[in-house]
Amino acid sequence: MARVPNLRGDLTALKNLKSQFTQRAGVNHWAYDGVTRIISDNIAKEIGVAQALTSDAFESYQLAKAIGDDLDSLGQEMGGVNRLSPTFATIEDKHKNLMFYSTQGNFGNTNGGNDVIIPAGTIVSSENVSESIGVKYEILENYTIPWYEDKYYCSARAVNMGTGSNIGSSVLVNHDFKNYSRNGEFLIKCTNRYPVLNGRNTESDESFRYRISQRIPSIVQNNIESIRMSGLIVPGVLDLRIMPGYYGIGTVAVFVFGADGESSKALTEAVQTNLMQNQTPGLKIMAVPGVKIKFDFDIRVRTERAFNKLERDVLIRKVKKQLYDKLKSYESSSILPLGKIAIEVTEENPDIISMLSTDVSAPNFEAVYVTKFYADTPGHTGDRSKVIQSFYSLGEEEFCSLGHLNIKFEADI
Amino acid sequence: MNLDSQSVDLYWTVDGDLYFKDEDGDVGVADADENAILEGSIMRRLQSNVGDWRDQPEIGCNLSEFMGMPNTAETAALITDRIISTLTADDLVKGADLNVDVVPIATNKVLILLEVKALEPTLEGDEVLIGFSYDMRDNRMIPRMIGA
Repeated sequence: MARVPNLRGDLTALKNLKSQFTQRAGVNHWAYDGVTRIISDNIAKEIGVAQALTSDAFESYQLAKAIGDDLDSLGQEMGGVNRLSPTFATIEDKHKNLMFYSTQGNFGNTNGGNDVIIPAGTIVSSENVSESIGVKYEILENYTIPWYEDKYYCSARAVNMGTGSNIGSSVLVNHDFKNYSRNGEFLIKCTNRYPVLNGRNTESDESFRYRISQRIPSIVQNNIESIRMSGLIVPGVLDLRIMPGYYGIGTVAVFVFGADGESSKALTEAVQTNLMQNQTPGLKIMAVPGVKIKFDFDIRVRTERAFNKLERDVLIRKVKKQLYDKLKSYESSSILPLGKIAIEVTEENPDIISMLSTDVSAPNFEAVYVTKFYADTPGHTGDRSKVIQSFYSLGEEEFCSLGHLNIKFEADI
Repeated sequence: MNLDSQSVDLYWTVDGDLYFKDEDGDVGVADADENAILEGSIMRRLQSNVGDWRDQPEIGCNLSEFMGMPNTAETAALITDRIISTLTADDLVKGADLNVDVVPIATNKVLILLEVKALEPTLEGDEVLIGFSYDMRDNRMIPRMIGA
């Protein structure tokens, strides 16, 4: 693939300009208010802007770099493919999924022996229909349910587009249909028997880029997208991080992540087997499990009164869950603000007055230790080191987990 | 002071242009000779408003803020303070090496006279004299030859 020429940056241009002014005109006054400084800064800046525009324009024509509208154009030009549009999640009656049913025998019992008519536009929802929250679906046509039926399947479509309306089974359990005689007793209920997963967001650049690349035979054979797909088709693999040159020149490390970032030997080996099709002379692609960072916490908490054992156990479990949730929630940002996490745990636990620390290096926690190891390491062992900052930065191939939690209680008397 | 007797910069005329020499067309430079580099630095600041120079946002005296003000002793004092603070803020000129006089010369016009310690002594002495008139109605600054 073509590469952007190695253009000189504005700092290099500035350095060259200064050098030329010094050599040719003898200028040596470079204070911020000097004429030559002002002129040089402006010229260098304009050069930098021009070069950035050149790079942007060039990259907008490169499949590997183009994004947004530029990628849409490339898709049309190179492969004749369009970005997938967002869709509404839909349920069809022939799939026997969304079901209205009577809790009093047949529908006739709910409506004085008559058929029940569910009109188009009836809303079924995960929460009370009147609530603004929850996932809502709309019935698409008028259904006349014969009085002798006890359940009936309908078609419906999500009110909102995208994956946000995808649902698991038994979620759509509320409706706003009241047009039957015993509606005050809520005798007609609804549910969806199976998950609904056909709602789709606008296709991401990454996914669209991959589809375009599949239309171009010369680049299908071996590229990051094909390596990624080789791994992702292994059941249980949820994410891959591909790091060229990780083990030296000519190597590519493919870090394998399953649910919650975990990985196993079997999973890694299955990915490695699939990656063999991508191996070429001079390139060694290696599947490796993600690197797990286990956090051990030593905590001293101050409480208003002395807790008995049961209360302590409850609090320990609660803190453990909070720490786990917070580590996972900050994991995606790669920065784990340990000091902030300690404050949040304290604020969310009325039983804890404060956390005490004699070590200023890890604020609020008495001590935090990390152990680093490949996720499939037997016994999860590795070197344990103390965190001496108030935050911890995760590498691209790393994910975090909660290790041991050691809480000491100190009560105010 | 960020200038000394060895400092060399491109020559910037009071009209805001680069100067090209008649004899060879080469670009002119300002140095300590005749204190041109010092005069240039001072005039550049006094003729500018903050923000005029995109990449040097600190440069400027904002004398235009005095446009429309009455030509009184109070205004003269304010102008004097403004010039002194502009030139001494970053030690371009030390306070002890600078004397500023602002005197009215017409209904809307003041004459601003600066005595600055020279980088190099000249025939006139150890000080550089810079003078210009400032029209507070038209916001126009005209350099004056002093002592010629």
